[in-house]
Amino acid sequence: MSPSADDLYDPELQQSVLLTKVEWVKDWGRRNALWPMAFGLACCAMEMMATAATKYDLDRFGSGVFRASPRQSDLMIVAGTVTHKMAPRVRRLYDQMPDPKYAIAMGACVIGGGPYSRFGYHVVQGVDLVIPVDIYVPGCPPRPEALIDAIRKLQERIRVRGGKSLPPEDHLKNRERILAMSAS
Amino acid sequence: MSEPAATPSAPAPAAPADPVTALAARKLRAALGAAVLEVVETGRHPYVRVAPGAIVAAATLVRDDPELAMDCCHLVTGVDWPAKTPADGPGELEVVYHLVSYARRPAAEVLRSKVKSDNFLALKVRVPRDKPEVPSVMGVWVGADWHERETWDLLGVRFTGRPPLRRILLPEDWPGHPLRKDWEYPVEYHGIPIIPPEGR
Repeated sequence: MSPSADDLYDPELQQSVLLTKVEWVKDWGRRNALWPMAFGLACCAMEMMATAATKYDLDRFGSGVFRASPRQSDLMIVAGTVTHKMAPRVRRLYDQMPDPKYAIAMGACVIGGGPYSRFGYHVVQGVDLVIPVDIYVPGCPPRPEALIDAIRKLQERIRVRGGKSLPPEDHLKNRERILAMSAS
Repeated sequence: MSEPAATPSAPAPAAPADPVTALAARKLRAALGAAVLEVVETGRHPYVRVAPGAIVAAATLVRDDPELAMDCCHLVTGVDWPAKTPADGPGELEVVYHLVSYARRPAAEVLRSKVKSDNFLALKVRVPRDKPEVPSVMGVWVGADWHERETWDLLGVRFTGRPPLRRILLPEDWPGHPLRKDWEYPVEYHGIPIIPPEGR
């Protein structure tokens, strides 16, 4: 049985001491200071910038600190069409981010190729074939409210499930699924 | 007051001919003769089609002629025309040169008329699909460089007599030329699977 505040005999101590777990405190910090990477690929990046700007003010949720380096970021918002030429760069940037790290797939192109999925030859049919994705935001492009909702959902997820990021090989299960689909 | 009777059988007014294309066709015919293969002066996109071997001469002519003065190669594009049946041969690849004259501004009455403008001209060239070689017009307009690289990148038209063609949009190791109608989707590219169109 874990100790609770009631175990403390001294009422003075009950006023001034909070018992918790180190992991809980770390997750509290993680979810309230998600630093996204300044990284936009296409038109969705416009909405991402609008989300960070004054009207929607992503700083209210502690996520407005867009970092120019993957080394200082823990959230990758993939905003815009991911082409086959760009996919290795996306993966490299994701690999350069320190753990724990999270990814948001923003917009129809990033989720499944969007309007390019059927006849386009150059667009990756979902960035979850390249990197593990935590939250998907549909829309073309999604409104800033939708991106804010995604960040709130990610915060909730960190609160409920803990701050561990997805395994780095999480995208491989999608790869196997699609390869089986094209073989059949 | 009586309205004039409607005459449904009256012939439709002839579509206006594009003045620049008509002028260019006359001049090109005079200079190149049989190398001018096709002239379309009306419609939304009038053009002059010349033989592949005559494209550099035709380009030089429309650039240097003071009445045409096509000083800018706006765009080079390509069209794939595969054969309908194997008996029709290998099919053709078409290269379209969109030219514009900045030296000659369109006259005010031209801008008001049905003709869109009088300072645009399109030249076309058709080459067989199995040997798509077109002489480069980089010596006429140096700005054609990237357009020719793009046409090669996406359609595989080989431009000759110019610095070596490199891909400009696609990755260096991309398989084939994807805007060709018979291009096959790879199963995967650098470990990323590609769902073929019939499975999407």
